[in-house]
Amino acid sequence: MAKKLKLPKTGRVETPKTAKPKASFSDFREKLNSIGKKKTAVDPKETVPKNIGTDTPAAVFVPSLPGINVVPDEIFEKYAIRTTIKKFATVGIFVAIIFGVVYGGGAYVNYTHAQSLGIIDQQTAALNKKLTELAPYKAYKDGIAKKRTTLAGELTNDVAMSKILEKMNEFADQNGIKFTSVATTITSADNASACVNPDPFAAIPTIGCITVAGKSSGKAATNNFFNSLQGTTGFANTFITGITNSAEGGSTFNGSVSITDVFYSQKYAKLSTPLDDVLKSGAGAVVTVPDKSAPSTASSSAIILRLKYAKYFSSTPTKDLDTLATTVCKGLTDGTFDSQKANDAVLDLAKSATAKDVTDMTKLIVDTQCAANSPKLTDVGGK
Amino acid sequence: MRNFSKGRVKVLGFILIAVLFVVGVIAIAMPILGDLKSNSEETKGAEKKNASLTTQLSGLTALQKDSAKIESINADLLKQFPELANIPSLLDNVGSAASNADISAEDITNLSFNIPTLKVPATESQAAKPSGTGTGGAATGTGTATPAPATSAAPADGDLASMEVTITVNGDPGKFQIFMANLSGIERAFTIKQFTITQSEENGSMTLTGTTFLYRHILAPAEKPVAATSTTAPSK
Repeated sequence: MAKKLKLPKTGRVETPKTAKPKASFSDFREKLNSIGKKKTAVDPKETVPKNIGTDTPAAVFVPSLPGINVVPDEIFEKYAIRTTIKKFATVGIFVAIIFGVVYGGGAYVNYTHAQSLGIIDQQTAALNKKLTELAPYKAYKDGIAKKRTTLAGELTNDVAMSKILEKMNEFADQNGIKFTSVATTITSADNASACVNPDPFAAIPTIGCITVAGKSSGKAATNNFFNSLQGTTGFANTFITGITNSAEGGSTFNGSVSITDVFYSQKYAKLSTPLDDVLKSGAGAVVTVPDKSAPSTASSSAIILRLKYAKYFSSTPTKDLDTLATTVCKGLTDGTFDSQKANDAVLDLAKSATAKDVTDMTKLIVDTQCAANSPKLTDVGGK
Repeated sequence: MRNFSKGRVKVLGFILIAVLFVVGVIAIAMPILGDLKSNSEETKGAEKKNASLTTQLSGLTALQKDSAKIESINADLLKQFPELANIPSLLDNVGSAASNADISAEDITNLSFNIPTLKVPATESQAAKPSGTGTGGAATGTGTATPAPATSAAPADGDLASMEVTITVNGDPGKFQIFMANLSGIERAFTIKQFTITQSEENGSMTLTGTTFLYRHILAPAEKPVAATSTTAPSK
């Protein structure tokens, strides 16, 4: 079937449109060169319109202007090179500007960093100076904390010997025992071999041994004495080595009893409290718990002497001390006495009082206020 | 220019741009970014350090405020654990404890004080064993001055010293018990290690061995060191 031919308006025969490659600069140049040039050969690919019904080609008029290439190639080449160089130069300048901005911005940020760093360094120097000034306070506190720890470790095994003897005296009096000798040996904690062990199959941890010799009214009294010790907390392993009838009547005996860690005085236990906790609580350093076996027969002259030198009496109203003393005595009577609370109460009354003052004060209260017909604190030295 | 074709110019341009870019990156961007990073890290580090120092400072400031309390605590400790042997003061304490137990001064028949001995930490004491340290002779109870250990060449941790005291008193078991209770309540720390009672029809006596402790004085920040001129302090 014959193809339909389309005549263009310009009168030029056009080939059907195909995918046209992009016009490049060289195409442009060729076009320029071809202007005005006569075609010498017919392009075989060119579709020539033909007369309808025949194979004879139709005559086609192609208008064209006569032309001549007046611009030399070098000009185009130069133009192209110049254009390319301009493009690259533009890109180069742009890149340079970007780096310039980066450099400038970075330099500015670094400058501000340096400024702030300088300020921070000044602050650091000031802080270090203050820290150096205050460093002795830390060294001091550490030294005191270490002192407390060292002493707590050293005194943890303090034995309340007076309490041991108090109990022994009490049971001796109850059973009519007269000691001829009492000797103590304190060993390290949990020493099972401190004394004679009446049970060869089991050992009770003990901290020391007391050997006793004495006179009694008879075997029963001796037996009661040792039984009383055995039944008391803190004593263990009672052992009667021998009982001998005496010529004057009654009998003499030898025996031993172990003591356990119940008799550790705990007098210095407060030293184990971390210094930070002591500082937080605001309590004093070593408030020793008064020994409950403290003498009740202290002479009034000694009390007066102590009171005279007790510095808190100069500033504390005596009335308050009397009130405190009454409370303490009531507590002692009904068994609710808490020595620690009493110490704290005295500390509250007299802020400047030392631990020893507090101990003395508590003893004074016990000595004076709690005994029947004892003088009032006001009578023995208070204002 | 004549020798350069457009293609060559393009290649050359690309190379120059690439070189410019690489040089820019290497010579400008990377150092700047490196500086920024290091400065930022340095600033952060300095701020962090300052924060830590500020915390330390607040702790020390609090300590400074507490220094009066700490000094008070140390003053109490110093009474219980003095730096010097201070025998006269100890004699007063023992005398007072005896009189409060109704034991007269005449009934204190013996008082002896051993030379204070440094409590050396376990590891150091083992190391020091070969050289041998004497136990020190007992100075009978006359209240004579006993050298304090603080000024001797102490081991690193030898801040604590102990002084053994032996006391013999006449009386009865009741008085002995009160005497021991009084001793445990004296101003100086005093621990009784052992006691022996011998009792006859006519009289009785007790010999007890106790220990009192000495601790190297710790100077308060505001306190200036004072050269020790005497090994004993006068009795108050």
